[in-house]
Amino acid sequence: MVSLPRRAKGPKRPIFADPVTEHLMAMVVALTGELSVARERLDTVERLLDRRGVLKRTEVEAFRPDAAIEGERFKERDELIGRVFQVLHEEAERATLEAERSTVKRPPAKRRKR
Amino acid sequence: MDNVPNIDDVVQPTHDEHSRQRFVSVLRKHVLTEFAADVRTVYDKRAAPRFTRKHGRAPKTGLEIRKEMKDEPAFQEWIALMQQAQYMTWWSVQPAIERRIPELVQVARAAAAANPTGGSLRLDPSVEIPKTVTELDVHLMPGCFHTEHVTDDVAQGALYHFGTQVFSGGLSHRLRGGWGATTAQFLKIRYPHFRPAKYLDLGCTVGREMFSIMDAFPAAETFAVDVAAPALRYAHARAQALGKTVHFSQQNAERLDFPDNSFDLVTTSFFYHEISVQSGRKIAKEAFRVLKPGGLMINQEMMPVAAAKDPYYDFTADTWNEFYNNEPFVGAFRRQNLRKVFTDAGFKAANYLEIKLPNYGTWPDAVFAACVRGEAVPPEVENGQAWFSFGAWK
Repeated sequence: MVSLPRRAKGPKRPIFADPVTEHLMAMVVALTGELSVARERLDTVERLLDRRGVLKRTEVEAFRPDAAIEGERFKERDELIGRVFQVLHEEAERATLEAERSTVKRPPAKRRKR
Repeated sequence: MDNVPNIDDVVQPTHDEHSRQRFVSVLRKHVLTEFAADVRTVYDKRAAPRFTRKHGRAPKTGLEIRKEMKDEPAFQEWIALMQQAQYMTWWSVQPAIERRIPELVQVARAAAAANPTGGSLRLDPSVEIPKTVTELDVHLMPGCFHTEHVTDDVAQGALYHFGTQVFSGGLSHRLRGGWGATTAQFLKIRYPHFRPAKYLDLGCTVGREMFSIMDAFPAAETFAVDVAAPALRYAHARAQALGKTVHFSQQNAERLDFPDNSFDLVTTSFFYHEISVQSGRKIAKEAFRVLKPGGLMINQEMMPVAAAKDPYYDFTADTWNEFYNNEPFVGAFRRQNLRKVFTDAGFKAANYLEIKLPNYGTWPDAVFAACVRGEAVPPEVENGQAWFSFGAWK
């Protein structure tokens, strides 16, 4: 299958002082798009099930999870948040590593001065 | 009549691809209206007063506004959203096209061979594609109008055709009729006795605007030129499906191979702002040559600086299109003396015409007609609400 190019040829002018900001914006918009697509697919499924009498859409609306289900969902949400904000954890890890390196490096530096 | 399948039906997006396209249409509508209004508020409430404090007067030009706005987060975010929505427009239709390229090529070949509507497709591989097309992908459309990925390719034509539908899909007023319908209705109301026998469209791409103009003049023998073969092949195949008789040919509008005094009507739709001032002058001369005496060249465009009389519009239109949407000639187009372009091309100054027009699909017929007759002015210039027509009678 032929692949069509995805990037447009031409000058790339910066928008933000930091190009990363632009990449982040692009990812957020793309993510919003995928969320919209997923919601629409779910909507299709609900409507088809409703049409075939498998369930009523009002049943979906009226559904209340019991404690066990709520527990499972809590865990899933928590893991999702961890995955999405992984990059923020990395910043903390980087800071920890930097601090460790600086404590390791300091004694030899002092020794050289002597 | 030989039966050629409708080329538009070859591309069948999946459920999720369709959702993705609808998302982009709505995203674009949101960026062009709600977010654009936020940027305007930031300008009115913060940037404009700051400029006035510094200079003792309000900003007079789009450039002054750009300098004052360029570091405003709202403006930067708006441009980033515009650019991402522009890319996603093309990305949302590419996978469905990629899957069917061999079938698209097959239908276009069948259309060219059978020619059921009696039109024709004349391609000329020796036509040099202008650098304005090859050096950068206009509208950030990857591959631009002309790139051929396979032999007899139509993919870029399909990409432009389906992409522009996503592009304007959230703007409901554009669906009732865009630039071509605006030109056609203007001509019918303003010049009710004008009945072109021979009509030529320049830079036709996939032909949408020309097809609208043809609807107003069904008796006209119609010709269309473009430099991009994939666009022409797609347009020709679409013409068969729409039952339109058009003679398409691959030519540079600066150097047409039609004889002098051939046409009653020559049109362009949002073509002039994509070409250099120099090229536009050559094309006006060439239009003068191929027009019959009493014929008309008319062009539909975005509002020039002198007509818009709104530095804020100059700021948004030029900044987005020229700097971030790969349309490098927008600013120069909007600042040139169009009357002089036409008088230098041979048209009499008295025969030059220009008019601000509301988008035909946006406003009620009575409002549109009042604007055509000069009894009213289009209420707004932004967001595809109003256009600018210019041209001259030979």
